Amino acid sequence: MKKLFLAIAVLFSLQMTAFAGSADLFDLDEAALNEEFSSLTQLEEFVLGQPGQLSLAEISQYDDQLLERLDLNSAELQANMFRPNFDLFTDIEWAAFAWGFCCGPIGVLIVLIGNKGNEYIISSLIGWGVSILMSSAWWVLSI
Amino acid sequence: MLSHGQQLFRIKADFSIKERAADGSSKLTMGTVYYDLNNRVILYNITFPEKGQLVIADSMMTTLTHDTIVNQVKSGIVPEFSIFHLALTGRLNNYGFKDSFFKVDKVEQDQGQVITTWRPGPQLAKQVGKVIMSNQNRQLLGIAFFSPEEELLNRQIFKDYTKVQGLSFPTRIIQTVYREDGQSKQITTYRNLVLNELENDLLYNFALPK
Repeated sequence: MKKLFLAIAVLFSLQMTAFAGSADLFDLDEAALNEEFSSLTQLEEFVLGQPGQLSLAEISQYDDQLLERLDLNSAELQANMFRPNFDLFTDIEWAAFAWGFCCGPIGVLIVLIGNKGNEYIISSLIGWGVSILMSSAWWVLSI
Repeated sequence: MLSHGQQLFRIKADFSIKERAADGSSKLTMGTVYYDLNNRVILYNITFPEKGQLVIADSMMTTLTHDTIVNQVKSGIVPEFSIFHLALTGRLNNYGFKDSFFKVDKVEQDQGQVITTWRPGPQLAKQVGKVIMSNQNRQLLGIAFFSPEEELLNRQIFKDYTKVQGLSFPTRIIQTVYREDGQSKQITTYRNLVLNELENDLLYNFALPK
């Protein structure tokens, strides 16, 4: 009987936890969020407060100390969605590279069918290119 | 003011996107977004940090500066599941899940919220996890996406609803993306909502340069 009561109590507590967890999932700590985004919010308000639509470069001319005061990095802000298509050092996917390197065009085709995104396709093409270069170098050295 | 029964088909809003990445870096993007229900192209006309355009159409995300394409990648965002499309078609309260391959698994009430758990059909259960949605006062409060292994991947909270010409629209969306290397957070703010604007046809029906 004791075990039965315990089981019911555990089940009840689990249910209560699950219910609490579901609503708590969407709780928001506004104070912490405001603190975390305070510099960006100040910059946003500054941009909104200027007449016309100023770019970062124009704002830097207007007030070259602003980003420093807000402890924001100009390069980070600039490096937004207009970055180059593919950064060799950060975007390369080594698994896709290996497919291209080991299997050549078949490997590239397999990556294409996998349809995981441009980074994967470019990585497989780079892998294929590197394997061609290495094969060519080996062939030249062996003559 | 829209007359009774008039269909909503266009939305325009000024936006700010504030981002804090897991590595501590910050981003601020500002501009105006345009969406036409019939054209199904989202155009972000960006003014900050530099002038340019971001176009989402046909599962592709294209960035342009000076009317020249500088980047084009496959996008995880489909215009039909964007907040603009869902709001204009009156399906934002269920995020369009009612007409998807997800089925309601569980509905419960907690702390004034209606919590709905959606699960994908058996054919996709190995690739896609459950989705938990919260509604409060008949408005979408939050949505959380999980992996098939029940790990929280992405959480969005919809706050500060405004009512413009009968349309209820959240003006602040807080998104958290959970990754192995940490959390990245994004706050999107919308201002100056305009519905059914009859000007700026070229922006609502934006065509990418050939």
